[in-house]
Amino acid sequence: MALYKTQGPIVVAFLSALIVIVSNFVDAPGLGQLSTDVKSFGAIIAGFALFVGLLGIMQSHVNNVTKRKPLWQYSVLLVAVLVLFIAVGLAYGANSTQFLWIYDTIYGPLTATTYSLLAFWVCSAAYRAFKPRNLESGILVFTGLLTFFGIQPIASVISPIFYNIQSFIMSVPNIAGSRGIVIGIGLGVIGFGLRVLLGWDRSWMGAD
Amino acid sequence: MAEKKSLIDKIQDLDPKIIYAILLVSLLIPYVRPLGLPIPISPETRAYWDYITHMPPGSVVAVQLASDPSTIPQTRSSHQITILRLFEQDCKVFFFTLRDDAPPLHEEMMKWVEAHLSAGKTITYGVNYVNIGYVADAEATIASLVADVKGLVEQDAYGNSLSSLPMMADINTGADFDLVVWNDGSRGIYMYALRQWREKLGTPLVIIAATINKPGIMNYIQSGQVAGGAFGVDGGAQIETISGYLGDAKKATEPGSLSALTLTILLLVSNTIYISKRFGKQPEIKGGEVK
Repeated sequence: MALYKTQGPIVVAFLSALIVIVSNFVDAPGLGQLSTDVKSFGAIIAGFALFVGLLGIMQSHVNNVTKRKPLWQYSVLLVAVLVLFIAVGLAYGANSTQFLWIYDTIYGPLTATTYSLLAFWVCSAAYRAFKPRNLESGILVFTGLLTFFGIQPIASVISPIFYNIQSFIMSVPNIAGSRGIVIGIGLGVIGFGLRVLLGWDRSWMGAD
Repeated sequence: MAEKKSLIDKIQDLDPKIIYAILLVSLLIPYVRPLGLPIPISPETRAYWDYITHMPPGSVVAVQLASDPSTIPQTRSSHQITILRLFEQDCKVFFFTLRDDAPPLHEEMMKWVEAHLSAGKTITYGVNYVNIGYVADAEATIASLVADVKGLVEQDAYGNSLSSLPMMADINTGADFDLVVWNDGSRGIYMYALRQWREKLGTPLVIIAATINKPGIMNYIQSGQVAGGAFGVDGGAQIETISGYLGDAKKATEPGSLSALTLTILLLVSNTIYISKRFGKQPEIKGGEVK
């Protein structure tokens, strides 16, 4: 495979990271502006990724429709609403009354409804699955119940002890445990970042 | 012939539809008969509100909105009351969002804010506030914004040149802001502001978020890296209580509270049956009562 395909992306990634990292420690003329420009490139690429995602969704659902895959009718609906949003947004603007009307009547209620249904599913799933099958799951169930219930205003009405227990769990064991996890994640991110920059990990390039 | 299930077994294997019905009833009760529950104020929400109320006039505050229609019911009250209070204190507010579906929510909340300003108080776009709308959701975006605000976006959300707006005359980098209010929704992207703004420049950071993010953010509140936080509907209700502004959060806590109580009772029942079966003690039913 051509060198620019295998090594080119690694060189670009390495140089970009080097500029940003060095600019944090060295106050050289022009380096600060170069670092700012590199960060702006990142922001532009992130914006472009949204467009790529849009193309991917369109391709996937148009494929569903043309090949009459199961539930293809929903794909028709999705593509139709997508095209409607884009057309109205381009014609009237994203802040126009028309665009906001579609948002308030279609997107907003559907998103809120989908999220609200989770409450019922979580309740049913918790009733069936939230059981202490061993010591660790027993501790999880017990502390989870205390935290979940203690945070509610009604718990304070029943007894102030529930709020105090919840507060203690959130402030002490929760923070102790999650701090360890966050430190571990941070170390992992540093390690992974080094592997990417040095070319040892090429999964982000689509390579094995 | 199939073995007849005992009452205990039926309770343990309760049909999900019955659970849904019980939950629905518990959600509806407070709408029929409000309970008037007290709202305890948590230290982190108190710290959040104290920070907002102590912003001096003329302060420049960046407000980021990353809630979407599914999480905005949790964060709306905290967010709009915060903005209202900042305007009442003559602060200048710089709005932006990292969610592509958040700008309409921002416009909706600004209408509420403008309708609730105190008598005689007016806010002018470009002088009191600026909105650059959606920017790409990436840490690089925040890094770029902090390094050079006008370099990242040349126009605001309405097509005006940023440089032409009076408020932006002295705002060039993240260091020109006195506070960052980060509405995280349920995204978990508060680390962008923490790493690129708070830790780099020392700009104070307060967070509004859905309840699900509270355990993670509490780390940073306890360490002092985040000055305070308002979480979920309860956070909104607390903000309404201590600010005195009316909103929907207080009304929403009651159905949430009652449904939480219902779920807790259901879980206690199912776990009691499970544990008693596990340890071989079959509950007996005598005279219609579980013994």
